[in-house]
Amino acid sequence: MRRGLGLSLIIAAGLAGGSRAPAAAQEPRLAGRLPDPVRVQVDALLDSARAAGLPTEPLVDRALEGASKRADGVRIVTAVRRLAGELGAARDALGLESSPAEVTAGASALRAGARAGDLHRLRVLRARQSVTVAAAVLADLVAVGVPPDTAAAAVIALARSADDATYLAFRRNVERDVALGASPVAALGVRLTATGGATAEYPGPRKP
Amino acid sequence: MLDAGVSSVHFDGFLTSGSAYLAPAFRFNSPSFTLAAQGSYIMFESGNTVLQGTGAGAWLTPAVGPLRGEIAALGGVSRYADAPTAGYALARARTHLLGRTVGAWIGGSYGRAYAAAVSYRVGELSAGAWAARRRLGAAVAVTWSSAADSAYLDLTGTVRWTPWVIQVDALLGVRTWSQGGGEGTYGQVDARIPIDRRVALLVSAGRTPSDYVRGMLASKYVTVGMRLIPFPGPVRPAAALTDVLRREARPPDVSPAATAPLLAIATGDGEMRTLRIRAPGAQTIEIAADFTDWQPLPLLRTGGDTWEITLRVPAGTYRLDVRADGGPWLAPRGTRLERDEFGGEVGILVVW
Repeated sequence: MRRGLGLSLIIAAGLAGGSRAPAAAQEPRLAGRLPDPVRVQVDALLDSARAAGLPTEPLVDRALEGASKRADGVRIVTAVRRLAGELGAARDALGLESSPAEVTAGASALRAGARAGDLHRLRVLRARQSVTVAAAVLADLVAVGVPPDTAAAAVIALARSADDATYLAFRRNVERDVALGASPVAALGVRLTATGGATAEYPGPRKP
Repeated sequence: MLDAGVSSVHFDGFLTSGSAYLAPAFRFNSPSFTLAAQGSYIMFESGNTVLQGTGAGAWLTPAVGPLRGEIAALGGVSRYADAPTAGYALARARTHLLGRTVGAWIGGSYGRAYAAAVSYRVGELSAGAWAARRRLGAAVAVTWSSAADSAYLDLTGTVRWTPWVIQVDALLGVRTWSQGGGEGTYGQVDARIPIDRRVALLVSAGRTPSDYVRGMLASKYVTVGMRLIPFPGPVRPAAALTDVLRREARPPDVSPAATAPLLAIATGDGEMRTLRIRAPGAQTIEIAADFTDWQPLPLLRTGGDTWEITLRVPAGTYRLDVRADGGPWLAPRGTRLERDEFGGEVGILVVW
């Protein structure tokens, strides 16, 4: 919690001073892609994120995406700042040793509706395995209509036993069932049982 | 009016649960205009709730011989617990052939439905006929529904029987053909038993199909409740007839599906991956993604409807869009669709 607040303050300070003190290191990939005033603000955000130990590659990508889609500067800076906050929250939940790919996937899961506590539980259960695919599958399940808490319970139920291929097959099967008309929750329950994940973490169907 | 009561309900994928509901409703009928709105608040044993709201307005054109046109707009929104909000909006046009005791209609509707950040087209073509005689009314309808690339055909029959002051409505439906929408039979029976002018007992039971437009799962239910009518008005036969016709206007079941090009990814040497996109009818395909620095790159046609490109894509989570023939950038199927922060959509792809 303290880390998240600190990150916010660093980013806010970077934004406030960005237009007056363009001392931030310039990201070469942004050259020629963003108007100078926007680039200065994005560089300041990148500096702040770098200082906080966050991966900056996703932030650069987000700025380039905005530029590619001809978004105005305010939208681009807002999007980069929001992502920086999500990366910070994901890193706090997953721990300092998490890889950039894990933090990025965690941020995506948080945006989809997962809770920081879910990511932390996933990290604890997969201490020696990557959580990148698991977090991405969590977000994918929410996207097909599974309530976030149910999706999180299912992904956590598989955390100890499933490898990445199992997670992806599980997600693919749920998505296929839903496309054929099954309700997302029913598809999840059936596939989770078939995958061997109906443990105490996910006790099967529940009351609505 | 206000409905309140208790239910035992079994939603697809859940255990059977008790629930209590409160449903205020408003309706205005005139010879050429109908406006209706209803809200409902349902609380389950678990403490989770469903909050829903629906509305509809319809205008009937002046009669041309036995024919009358109808222009209508329908919409609704629902939210279960902390699940994403779902909703729909439809515009409908129909032509009615109106006789004294028999009639028929044909028409169609078009609109959009959404669930969370996913939005998709929905449409419907329907035709039906009705007959009314003294205390009995009946209607049959055939409805072809489509949502994105799913489509299905429903046959429904409804009967309204009004012995003495009691009103009984029954519906039997069968989904006879389906492409991605499920098949099967369903049915409902509702009874309204007036206690006095302002209070009625409601009893209903049945099985409903999944209704993705309203964000509701398939269910089996038994309900007992009361209806309070604070402002009872005269019974209008025309309104009762509209009710019979309205029964067939149930919004179509849909399953969200995309129409964008389909993406598949194949592992290459090391971090090199081949992205393969299938896009029937397209002449050119481009991709822009995190791993292209969001610079559009053209794909090479490898035959038929398939395009390919091989790029360095290390394991990770990426955002990408594709476009066909210089059109809008879209999230391809095979990725998770999200609304981006720039007014468009983006696909999320995990590479491992």
